[in-house]
Amino acid sequence: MVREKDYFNIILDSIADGVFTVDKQWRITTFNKAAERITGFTREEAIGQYCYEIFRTNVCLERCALRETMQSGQDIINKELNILDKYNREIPVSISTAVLRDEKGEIIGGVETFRDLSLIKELDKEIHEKYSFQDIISKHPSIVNIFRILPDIARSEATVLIQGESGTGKELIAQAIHNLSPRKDGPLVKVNCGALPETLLESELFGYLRGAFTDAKRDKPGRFKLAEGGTIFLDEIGDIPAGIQAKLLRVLENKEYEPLGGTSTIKADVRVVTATNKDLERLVKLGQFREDLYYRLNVVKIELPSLRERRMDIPLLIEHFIERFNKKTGKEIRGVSDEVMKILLNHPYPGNIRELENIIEHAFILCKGPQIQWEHLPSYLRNQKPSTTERRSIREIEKEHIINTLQRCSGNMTKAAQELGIHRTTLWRKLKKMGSI
Amino acid sequence: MKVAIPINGDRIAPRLSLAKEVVVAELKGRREVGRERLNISGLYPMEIPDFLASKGVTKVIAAGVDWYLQEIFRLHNIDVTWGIMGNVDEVLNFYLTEGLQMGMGLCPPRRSRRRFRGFHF
Repeated sequence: MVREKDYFNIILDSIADGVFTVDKQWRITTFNKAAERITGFTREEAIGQYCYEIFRTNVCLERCALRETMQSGQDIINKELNILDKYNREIPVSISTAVLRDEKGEIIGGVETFRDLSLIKELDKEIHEKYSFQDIISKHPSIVNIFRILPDIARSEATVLIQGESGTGKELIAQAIHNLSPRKDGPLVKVNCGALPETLLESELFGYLRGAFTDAKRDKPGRFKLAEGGTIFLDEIGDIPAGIQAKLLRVLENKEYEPLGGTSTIKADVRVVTATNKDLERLVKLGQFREDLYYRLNVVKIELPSLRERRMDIPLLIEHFIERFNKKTGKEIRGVSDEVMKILLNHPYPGNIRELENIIEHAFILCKGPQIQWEHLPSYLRNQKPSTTERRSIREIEKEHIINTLQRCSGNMTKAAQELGIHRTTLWRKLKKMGSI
Repeated sequence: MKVAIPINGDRIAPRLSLAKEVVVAELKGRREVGRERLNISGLYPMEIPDFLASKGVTKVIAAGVDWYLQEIFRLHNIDVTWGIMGNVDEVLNFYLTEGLQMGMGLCPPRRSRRRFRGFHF
């Protein structure tokens, strides 16, 4: 005969959503199996702890849904927020809350259910391109330095020029500047200047008035108007034709413009962020880009390194994409073979991170086992022989990584092992094998 | 050395990026010789590492720390131990006497409770 309490636990553990309850002091009193799976904490670790110390959401302490429910008595359904799991990973979840009452109707605590939205959010990001700068996966000092200076850049009203090859994350940086700026509540309007012919680009940017041309049946606001009070992101700025360059210069200098077919001037309260994969300085020398506009755009310049320049991030990115595609496809691929890693580390990546992502996606389609092999790579990589100057073995790369880490940690083995994610004795063994001890 | 701990009341704050205050404890050997509370509520999260570096902090003990903040701390050679929960005094004391491990959770850790299940013959 199953006891009532055990029966209750069996029901809780059979629910696919995470469920936990708290008492009036916010201490966790129940924690089901799905909650263990999503958070990484065991029931023993969670029970008795403050809920905000286990879940560490991005709204804990200030806009806590459970607190709101316990104060108002009103249930909250499907509120989205992020928790941090035991391993410090951000997990998007959807939560619902309700109060717990005793037989007399007195509030004795609260109950919360939560559902892992990682996969849904991942797909949503892809469909709507809703990436943030936190999606830039990098440990490279030049990228980390950019993160560091972003708030200062965002606070100023200066025009920003983001330079980098295609696929290096220029748009994510533009998004971050807007999100951190005092204009964050205003719109962020994106324009791909390279995708439109001159006449269309002019009307897109500045808008037109009725009768400006044959098909102009009514007024149409331009992107500058739509970005009023916010930020306009002009991508591929190096591709804009000479005529528009002059008009853009006027917006930057005088903060004003005229729509097509208009006679009166419109004031523009817009922050301008631009990006290009071209060398604007060279275009200026060739006479293809206005020098005065270049200096107006180049008030603050952010240079994003190519993937070639930050090869140390390649294993990290491979791991990230494998994790993402595992979630998406339901596969359980654990990594790539040494041979594949070697090819991927030596490839020049003209398409940068986007190219690496496509390579992993391609391999995922063909890979049936737990590890991506040479035959799963796209043909252009299978045929590619690493250049002799760049060819390095996995061991050499590992050695370099370990030595760099040790140097960063001033020779402290414990610290270096912690940073490398391996045990101290494993590090010692590796160093011995390399002949460094 | 100076150790910074983001706080919420007398406990470690759930996330460094949400903390309004940090405790900066000055340690000499295995003794705490000074302590101050600093307001960080006006800072963007990515400004916290620069701020703490300017105060001479070389170690951070925290619960949740975003990965990009960990990387900025690394630029400053500030060591970060994340995944620690508990009362600030108890955590500091445990750090000085026993040492902390990344992701160890509640500090000091609970002693495992073994239920007496009777004698077996």
